[in-house]
Amino acid sequence: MDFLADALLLSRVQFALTTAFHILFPPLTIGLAVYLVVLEGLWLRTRDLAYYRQFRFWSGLFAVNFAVGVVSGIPLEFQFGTNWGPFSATVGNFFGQVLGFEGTMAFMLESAFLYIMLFGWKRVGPRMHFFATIMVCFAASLSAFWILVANSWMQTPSGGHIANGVFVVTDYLAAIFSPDLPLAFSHMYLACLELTAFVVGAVSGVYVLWGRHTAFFLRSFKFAALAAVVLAPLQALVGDLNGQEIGRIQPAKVAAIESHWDTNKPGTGAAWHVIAWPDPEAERNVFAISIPDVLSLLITHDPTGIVPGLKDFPKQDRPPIVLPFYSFRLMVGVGTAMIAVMAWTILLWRGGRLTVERAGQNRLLFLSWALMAPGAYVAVIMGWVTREVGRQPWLAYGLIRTENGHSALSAGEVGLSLAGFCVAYTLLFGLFIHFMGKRLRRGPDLDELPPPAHRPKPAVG
Amino acid sequence: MTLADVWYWILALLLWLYVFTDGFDLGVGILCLVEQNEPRRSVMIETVEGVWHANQTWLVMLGGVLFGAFPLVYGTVLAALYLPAGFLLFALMTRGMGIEYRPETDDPRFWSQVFGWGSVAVTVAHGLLLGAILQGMPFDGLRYLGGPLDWLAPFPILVAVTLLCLYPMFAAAWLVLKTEGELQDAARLWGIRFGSAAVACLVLLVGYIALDGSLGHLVGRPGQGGLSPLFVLLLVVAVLNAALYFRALGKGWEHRPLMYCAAMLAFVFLAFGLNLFPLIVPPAVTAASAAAPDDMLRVMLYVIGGLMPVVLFYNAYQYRVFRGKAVPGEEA
Repeated sequence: MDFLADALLLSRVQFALTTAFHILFPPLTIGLAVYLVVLEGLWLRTRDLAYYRQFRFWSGLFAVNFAVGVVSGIPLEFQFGTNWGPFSATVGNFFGQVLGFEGTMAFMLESAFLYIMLFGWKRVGPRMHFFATIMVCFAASLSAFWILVANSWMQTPSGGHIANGVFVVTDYLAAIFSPDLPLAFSHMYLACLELTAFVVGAVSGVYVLWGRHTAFFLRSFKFAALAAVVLAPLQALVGDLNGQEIGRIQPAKVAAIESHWDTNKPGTGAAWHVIAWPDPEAERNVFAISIPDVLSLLITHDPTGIVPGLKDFPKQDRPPIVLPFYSFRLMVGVGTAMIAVMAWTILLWRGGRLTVERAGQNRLLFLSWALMAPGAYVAVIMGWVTREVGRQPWLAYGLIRTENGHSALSAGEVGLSLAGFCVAYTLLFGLFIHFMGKRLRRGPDLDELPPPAHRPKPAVG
Repeated sequence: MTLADVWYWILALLLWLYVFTDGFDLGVGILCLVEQNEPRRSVMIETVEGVWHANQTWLVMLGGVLFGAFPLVYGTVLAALYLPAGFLLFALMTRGMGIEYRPETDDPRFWSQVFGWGSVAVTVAHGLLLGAILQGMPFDGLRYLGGPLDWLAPFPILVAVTLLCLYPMFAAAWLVLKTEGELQDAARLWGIRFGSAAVACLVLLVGYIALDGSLGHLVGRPGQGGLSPLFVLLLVVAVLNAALYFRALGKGWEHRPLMYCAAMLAFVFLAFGLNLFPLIVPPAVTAASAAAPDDMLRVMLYVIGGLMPVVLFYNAYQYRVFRGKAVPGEEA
C-alpha cells in the first residue's frame, strides 16, 4: 500500500477521479442544449404541441444533468490551487485567466438564463424564452471552448515562455489557439453531440421497447438517428485527422498509444498492433498481434511513412503505455459500433420498419441503441484517458513536469480529501441514477399545455 | 493606481457580490432549519430557486479571477488552507444537492434538512477560510510557514459565527421582500433576532481585533492594538446602516431592509479593505508582489472588465424576470 503515502500520486488519482466523474455530465447538457434549441425552434415555427412537450421532457433531463455537472465541476477549478499550487503559480497568468474567462463569459451566462429556460415559461414571452434557450446553448458551447483552450494549451503550450519561473505570454492569440486546439475542440464538441444523439436515441428506444408513448419517442428516436448519420462518420474522420495531428505535435503520445518501440526504417512501414503487452524495462512488447504497414498508414496516410518509436525519447520522457493503448482501442471500438448501429437503423427505417405499428418488433435494434448509450460515456472517458495519460510525464507538455507541479501537502491531507471525494461522488452518482430513473419512469406529460401567452392565437374567421 | 491595484478592488467587488448574493440564499438555507413547517419552507426555497445558481457562480468567477490576476496567491493560499477549502467544496455539493433534488422527491422534509445543514456547513467554511486569511498567513516566497491547522483558531471561528448570524439577517430581508402574510411576519422577527446577533458578533470581532495586537494589520495599525480613525468611521457607518435596517423592518417596508444589508456589508468591506490595502494576504503578501505581469492584467481587464457590465445587466434581468412575491407551487 505504498501509494497511500505518496501525496503526488494521491493528488493525481484525485484529479483523475474527479475529472472522470465530472466529464459524464457536461457533454450531455452541451448536446441537449443544441437539441432544445432545435425543438423550441420547431415549436415556434409549427405550433405543433408535440414539439413543446418534447422540449419540456428533455429539458427536465437537462436540469438533472446540469445540477450534477455543476456540483462536481467546482472542485476541479479549486484543485489547481489546492493540489497543484506550483503549477498554478507558474502558469496561472494564462491558464487561470482562461478559467476566469470561462466563468465570466460562459458559466455565468448559462446560470443566469438556465432558470428562465426552465421556470420562466409563465414569466416571459415566446421570443424571450427562445432567446434564453439559445443563450443557454451558446454558453454551454462557449464553456466547452474555453475549457478546451486551457486543456489544449497544456498539450501544446505556446504563445510565450517561462521567465523567472513564471510563464509570460508574448502572443495572446497563439496561446489561446494553440496547435492542438482546433482538432481537439472539434473532436470533443462532436463527442458531446454524438453522445447526446445516442443517449436520446437510447432513452427513446427503451420507451419504444416498453411500448410506452411510442409515437412521442419514435419522433425523438428519429431525430437521434438522423443526427447520428451525420455525426458518427464525421467523428471518425475528425478522429483520424486528430490522430495525424498528434503524430506531428506529440509523437511520444502516439508511440505510447500504439506501443510502438522502434522507428521504422525508411522505405518500410510501421506495423499496427491490434493487441500488445509492453515491457517498458526491456523496451519491447512481450507479445503483439500486428498488421504490417497499417500504423504508417493511419498516422501519415502513407504505407512507408516514418512513425517515431518510443526508443527515440529519453526514458524519463515516455508516457505510460498500457493505459493509453487499451483506452484508445476501446474508444475506437465504440465509435465503430456506433457507425454500424446507425447504418442498421437507416436500413430498417428505409425498409419502413420504424412506424408506430411496427417499431416494437425491432427489439434487437433498440437494444443495441440502449447499449450504445453507456458505450458513448465509456468512449468519452477513454478518449480523455488516452489524451491525458499520453501527455505524461508533463503537466504542460515540455514546460513543467508533473512531479514539479504539485503542492507540498501531506499524504494524510490528500488521502482524507480523496476518501471524501470517493464517498461524495458515489453518493452523487447514486442520487443521479435514482432521480434520473424517477424522471424516466414518470415519462413525458402528453397533455401538457403551454401557458396562455405561449399558445398559438386562434385562427380568425 | 497600478493595474494590480485595480484588480485588487475588482476582486473586492466580486467578493462583495458573492458574499451578499450567495449570503442571502445560504441564509435562507439556515432559516430552513429554524422554520419547521414544510409548506412554508417550500415557499422560502422557491424564492431563491431561480437565482441561487447565478449567485453561487460569483464564487466561480472569483476563483477564476484570483487564479488569473494573482496566480501566486491562488497557488499558495488554497494549498495552505487545504482542509477548510476541501470542506467548502463538500459543503457546496451538499447544499447544491439539497436544493436541486428537493423538487424531484416525495420526501421534501429530508431534502430541506440537507439544504439547511449544507448551508450551515458552507457558511462555516466561508468563515474559517476568510478568518484564516484575515488573521494572517506567514509566507516565505512560495513556502507556507504556518501549520495545516492554523485556521482552527479563535479568530476564524469568531468570523464563522458572525457569518452564521449575518447570512440569515440578509435572508430575512430577502424573505420580507419575496413573501407575504405569516411568513413575512416570521421573516421580520428573524431579521430582528439574527440582525441583533450579527451586530453583536461584529462588535465582538472588532473588540477582539482592537485588543489583539497581532491583528492590527486589519485596522490600519500593523503590529499594535487599537483601531485607526478611518476604520472606526467606516464601521460606524456600517452600524448606522444596520440601525436603518431595523427601522425599515419595524416600519414594514419591503425593499429597504435588503438594501441596507447590502450597504452595511459594503461599508464593512471598505473598512477592512481600505486598511488592509495593498496587502492581499496579510501580513506580508501585497497585491503588487503576487500579481500577474502587467500586460496580462491589461488583457484581462479589457476582457473581463468589459464584460462585467454585461454580466451585471443580465443578472439584473434575471432578478427582474423572477421579481414579485413567490407563488407557492409555481414551476413553469
